[in-house]
Amino acid sequence: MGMTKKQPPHLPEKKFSEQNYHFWQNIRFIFYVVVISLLAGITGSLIVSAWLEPSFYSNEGGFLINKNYNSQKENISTWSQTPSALAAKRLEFSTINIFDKTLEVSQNFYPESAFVGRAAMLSSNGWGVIYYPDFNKNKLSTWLALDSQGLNYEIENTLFDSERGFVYIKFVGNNFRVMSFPNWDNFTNGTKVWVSDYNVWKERQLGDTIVVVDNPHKITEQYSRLHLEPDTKVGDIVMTEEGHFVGFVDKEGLLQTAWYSEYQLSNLLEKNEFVMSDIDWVGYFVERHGVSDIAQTPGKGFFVVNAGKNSADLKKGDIITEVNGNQVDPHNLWRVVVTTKSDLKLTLWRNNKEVNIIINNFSVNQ
Amino acid sequence: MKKNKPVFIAVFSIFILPIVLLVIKFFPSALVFFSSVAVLVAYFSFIAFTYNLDKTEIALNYMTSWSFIVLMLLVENGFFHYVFIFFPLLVFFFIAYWSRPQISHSIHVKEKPLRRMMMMLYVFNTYAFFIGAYALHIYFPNFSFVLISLVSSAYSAFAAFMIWSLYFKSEFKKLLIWAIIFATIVFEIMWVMIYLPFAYLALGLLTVWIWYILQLFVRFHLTKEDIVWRQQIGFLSVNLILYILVLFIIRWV
Repeated sequence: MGMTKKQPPHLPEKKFSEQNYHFWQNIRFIFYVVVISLLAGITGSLIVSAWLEPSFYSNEGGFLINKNYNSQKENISTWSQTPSALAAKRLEFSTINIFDKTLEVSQNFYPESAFVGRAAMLSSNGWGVIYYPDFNKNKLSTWLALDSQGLNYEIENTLFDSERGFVYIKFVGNNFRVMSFPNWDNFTNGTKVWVSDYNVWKERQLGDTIVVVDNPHKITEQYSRLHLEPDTKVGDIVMTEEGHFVGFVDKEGLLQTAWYSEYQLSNLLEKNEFVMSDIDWVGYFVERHGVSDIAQTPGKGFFVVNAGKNSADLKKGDIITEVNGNQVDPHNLWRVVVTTKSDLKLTLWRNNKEVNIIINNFSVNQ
Repeated sequence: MKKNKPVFIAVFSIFILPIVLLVIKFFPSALVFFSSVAVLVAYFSFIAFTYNLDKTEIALNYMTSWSFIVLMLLVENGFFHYVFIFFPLLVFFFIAYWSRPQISHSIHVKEKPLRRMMMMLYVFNTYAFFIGAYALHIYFPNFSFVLISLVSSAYSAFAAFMIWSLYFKSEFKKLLIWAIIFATIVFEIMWVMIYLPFAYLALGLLTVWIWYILQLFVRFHLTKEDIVWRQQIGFLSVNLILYILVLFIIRWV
């Protein structure tokens, strides 16, 4: 009579299934989870597939980005030449473009010449750096700062490093995506890098090491820079294949690395200024030619012309051969001196004898 | 049979993280950092194996330590570094001492205020972990984001599991299934989030926000009453509006 076997005879007929009841109770929630999972799943899958096989979403098809519809093949190949999709995205997210707003021709329309440069973001609270050696504070009133979404940012503060031509800009805002820095020891002649201006990527190799100081010079001055292959513009951003920020192309076509920006970043964040080493020796690098009668005569070193105000134990005519136990390397010595926070242990060649001294390394605010 | 934790161990547990954070702050080198973290891990492992500690306390010791270390490394404002050094005193006092009598109870369902505090700690820990994960991706682009998102999703699922286990008697199998679903969702959400042009603090917030609402709704679903959609629709709508609003204003927050 419509009853299941287990139905007790004294109870009314069972009209619903308890299992079905719970199922329908849960169905809305299951639906909710399924929809969210589907949405997240589809988006995630698209991203993963684009990441694994970017050519599948190639811009040559012209569906995803504005294609340059110039019939010349060279132009199209320039557009398609990019580093990894990840690195390209990093540049887009972690930079702010500066334009000269006095060159506005119509509302929000600018000629190509209005592009001043690209500021690489260094901190999430708004510090960025741009290469602009002719900077003065009056220029600021003409600058318009826009991110990749077209959002406009006010400039709160600036700090100019005239030696390197870097302008550190504090934008008003927060939660900026920042650039990462590479391992600076990996950069040498032949290293492949990517150079980008406003919208074109170029693959380049680091060329010869060019000495950029005059003799005699201050020990903390940048000694050499790496040459970049031609066809780069002043202020172009240089990145690694992975998307690390290497530096800028300077006005001599050389790579001005951003290692100093990384080194000073903590001072910039905490004090809004740089902390400089007070080491002020002046001199030049020398090499020994010919055989010496005296044993242990060094092969090369930094010849001191002026020991400066803060290194009493160092004398004019000393040749610094080792710093903290390492032989002096002209290309690195200035970096060692600038970055060493502890005292410097120097080995000198003085009056044909090896002498060891310790120099107190203080730092002073710029 | 493990013995109960003596008072001096409880007191030392309060101070060890601030000491480690102070050392990291004033001696910024990789060697000091890894040595300090190793000492911290060794200490918490030692007390976990030696004394009779609740699983919640063991988990919170590791998770909260990692959270403060991550924040100390990644938050740029120097003032907050001191907040991160002193605030753990309060947090670990709560973990190591104040929660102790309740934790040592045999009951599985915690008292309400204690549960709330613990839940807040798990949310904070998950937020800090996401921040660390996104920062790792931003600063070390060579590091596989698949791995980062897998670890983060596992971590967030574990945190969600620990929150649910505060509310429900041990239903390990049931909670585990939800934790696995959770890990999958978070894994996928992270792949979407990374394409937003924000810094790690913002990405962490946006991810943990979704994670929080999801775990809350799973928790409601696991109760006898299930989700009362009529009551929750307002909450969900407000969150949706706020979420979209935050996406636009987060650059100026």
